[in-house]
Amino acid sequence: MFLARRFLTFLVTIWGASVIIFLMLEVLPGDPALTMLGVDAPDSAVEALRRDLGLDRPATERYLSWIGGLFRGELGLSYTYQVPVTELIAQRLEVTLPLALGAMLLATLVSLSLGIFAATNHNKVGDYGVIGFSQLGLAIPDFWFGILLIILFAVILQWTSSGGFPGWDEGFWRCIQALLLPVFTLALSLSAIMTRVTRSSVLEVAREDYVRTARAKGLSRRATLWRHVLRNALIPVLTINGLLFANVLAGTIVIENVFALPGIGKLIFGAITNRDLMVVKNVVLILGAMVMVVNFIVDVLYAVVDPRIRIHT
Amino acid sequence: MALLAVRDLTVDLQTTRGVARAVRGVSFELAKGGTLGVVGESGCGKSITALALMGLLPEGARTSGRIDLDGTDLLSLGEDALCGMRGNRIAMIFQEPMTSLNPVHRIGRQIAEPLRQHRGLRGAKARAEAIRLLDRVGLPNAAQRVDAYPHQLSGGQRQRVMIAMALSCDPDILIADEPTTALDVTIQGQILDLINELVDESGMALILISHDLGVIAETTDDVVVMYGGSLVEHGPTDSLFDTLAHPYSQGLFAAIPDIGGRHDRRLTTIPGTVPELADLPPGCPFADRCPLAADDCWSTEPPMRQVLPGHQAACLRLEAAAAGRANGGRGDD
Ligand SMILES: Nc1ncnc2c1ncn2[C@@H]1O[C@H](COP(=O)(O)OP(=O)(O)O)[C@@H](O)[C@H]1O
Ligand SMILES: [Mg+2]
Repeated sequence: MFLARRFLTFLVTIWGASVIIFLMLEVLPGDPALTMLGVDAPDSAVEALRRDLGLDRPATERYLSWIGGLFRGELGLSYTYQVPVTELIAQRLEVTLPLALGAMLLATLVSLSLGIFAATNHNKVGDYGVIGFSQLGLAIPDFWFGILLIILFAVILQWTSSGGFPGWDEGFWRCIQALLLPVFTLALSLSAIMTRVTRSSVLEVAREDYVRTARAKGLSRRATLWRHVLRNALIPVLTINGLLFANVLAGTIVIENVFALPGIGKLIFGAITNRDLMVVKNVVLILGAMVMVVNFIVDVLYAVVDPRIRIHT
Repeated sequence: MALLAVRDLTVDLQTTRGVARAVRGVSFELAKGGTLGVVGESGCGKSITALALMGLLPEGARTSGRIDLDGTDLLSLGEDALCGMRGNRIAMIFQEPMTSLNPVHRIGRQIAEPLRQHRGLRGAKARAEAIRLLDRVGLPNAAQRVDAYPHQLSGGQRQRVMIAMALSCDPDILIADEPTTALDVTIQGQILDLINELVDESGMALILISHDLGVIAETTDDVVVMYGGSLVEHGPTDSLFDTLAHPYSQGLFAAIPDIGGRHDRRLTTIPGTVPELADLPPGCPFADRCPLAADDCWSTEPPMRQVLPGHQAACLRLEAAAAGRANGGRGDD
C-alpha cells in the first residue's frame, strides 16, 4: 500500500519534471535553432535545423514526440557530436554512475563507522577527532582536494594517472584505478556531512526512553547499541543520505572536469557551452530521474526499517 | 536482614549549570515481599533515586553511600555484574509507556529479550513464554498480539507489555516509577490493580513511586516522603498517614480534596515551587515554603527525629507541626 502510493508519486514527479524541463526550453527567448547555430548562420541552415528539431510543429506535439522517443530510447541527434543522444548519454553514464555511486558507498561506509564511533565516545577524544575531521572535510573545496590528490598520487608518487578514463573495454581494474582519486575527492565533503548526521542521530536515539528500557532489561551498552539504537538512528540518516545524492551528481560536474573524465557532468558542461539543447534537455531529465530513483529507493528502505510506515492501525 | 538496604545514598548530577545534588543522604530498607511508597512533588529526586538503584543514572552522575541487595553493595559492582542484576533481580517500569518500547521491534521480541539475556531462552520457547506473560498481564489475544508493533497498541496496553517485560525473570524487586501518571484516568486503576495482583502473587517486593497519595495509602506497607532530594518523613504507611508529622507531608495531604476517591489528586497546592537543586539554601530545604519556619530552620539542617517507633521526620518544628495538625485537621475543614 505504502509502496504503491510512493511509486505513483515517483511517476508523477518524473512526469512533472519532464514538463518543467520542456517548458523552460520553450520559454527561452529566441529561436532554438538560431541559438544553436549562432546569429551568423545562413538562413537555410537554420531552417534545416528547425525541421530536424521539429520546431515547425506545435508544442504539444513536440512534447509528446519527445516523451514517446524517451520510451523508445530515441532521443534525437546531438548537434555538436552528430551522434544519437541516447548513445552519448549511455557512454557517459558508464563513467558518472560508478563515480557517483562509488562516492555514495564510500561516504556511507566511512560516515557510519565514524559517526557511530564518535557517538559512542561522546565528549571524549575520539569524538572530538571525528568532529575535527568533519569540519575539515566541509571546509576543503572538492576541486582543491582533487588537485592535491593529483599532485600527491599522480605527480609525486606516480601511482596513478592524473586523469582521463580508459573505457571499460580496456580492463576493469584500470578503470577502477582511474576512478579511485575522483571517488575519494567526491566522498570527502560527503562523508563529512553524513558523519555529522549519523553521529547526532545516534546520540539523539541514545537518549530515548526505549534505550533506557533496553538497559533496564540487563542488555549491555554494546547490545543496546546494536539492537535498539542503530536501527532507529538509521531513519534520519537514510533520508539525508538520499537527499545528498543530488549534491553528488552536481559534484560530478566539477570533479569530472578536474580529472578529465568523460562523464555526464562533462557532457552537460560542454552541451551548455555549445548550446546543444537536445543534449541538455535529455541529460537534465536523466539526472533528475536518477535523483528521484534514489529517493524512491530510500523511501522503500525507510519502510523496511520503520514498521510505523509499513503498518497503519 | 532486609532484602534491600539503602544507606546514605547521595547522587550528584552533571547539569549545564554545574553539579547538582539530586539525592541527599537517603536511607531506607525494603523487606522481602515488602512494599514501599515514595511520594513527593515532581523534581524531588524520586526518579533519580530509582535509577540509582538500577545503576542507570545519566552520564556523568556520581554516587556515594551503599545500596545493599541481599548483602551485595550494588554501587561497588562493575557494569557486567549490574547487567546480570537488571531485569533479573531488579526490574523497573517507567512513567511513559508511549515511548518506553522500541518502535521498530515487535513486542514479543522485546519481551523475549530479558528471557534470553538472563534465562537463555530462545526461539519458540522464548516466544511461548512471551505469550504466557502477555496473557498474564491481561493483554487480549496474546497469541496474536505478540507479533504487534508498539504503535499498534494503546497506552494502557503498552504499559501492560512493560509490566510483562519487567516480570519476565521473576525479579526480587519491582520499581514502578509513576506507572499510571501518563495513562487515561479510566485505565489507571486497572494497571495499579494488575501490579498489586502480580506483586501479591509472586511475592516480589515493590517500590511504588507516585503522586497519588490514595494509591500509596492503599498499596504500601511503608512510605518515604521526599523533598529537595532528601527524605523528610519515613515510616509505616498507617502511622505516617495518621500522624503527618512533617509540615511538608501535611502540605501534600492538604492538597488533596478528599481521601478515599482514587483519581485526580495532584500535589499542586503548596504555595511556592520545588527549589532548584543546584542552589538549595543551607538548612531545611522546605524552609522557604514552610508556614512554621523560624530562624534556625534557615541555618540548621534538620536531623531525622523519631515520631513513633519506626517513624521519623526531619524537622526542627515537629511539636509545632503536631499542634497545628491537632487544631487544623487535614485541612479539609
Ligand atoms: N538527566 C538529568 N540531568 C540533569 N538533571 C536531571 C536529570 N534528570 C533529572 N534531573 C534533575 O534531578 C532532579 C530530580 O529529578 P527526578 O528524580 O526526575 O524528580 P522526580 O521526583 O519528579 O522523579 C530534578 O531537579 C531534575 O531537574
Ligand atoms: Mg519522576
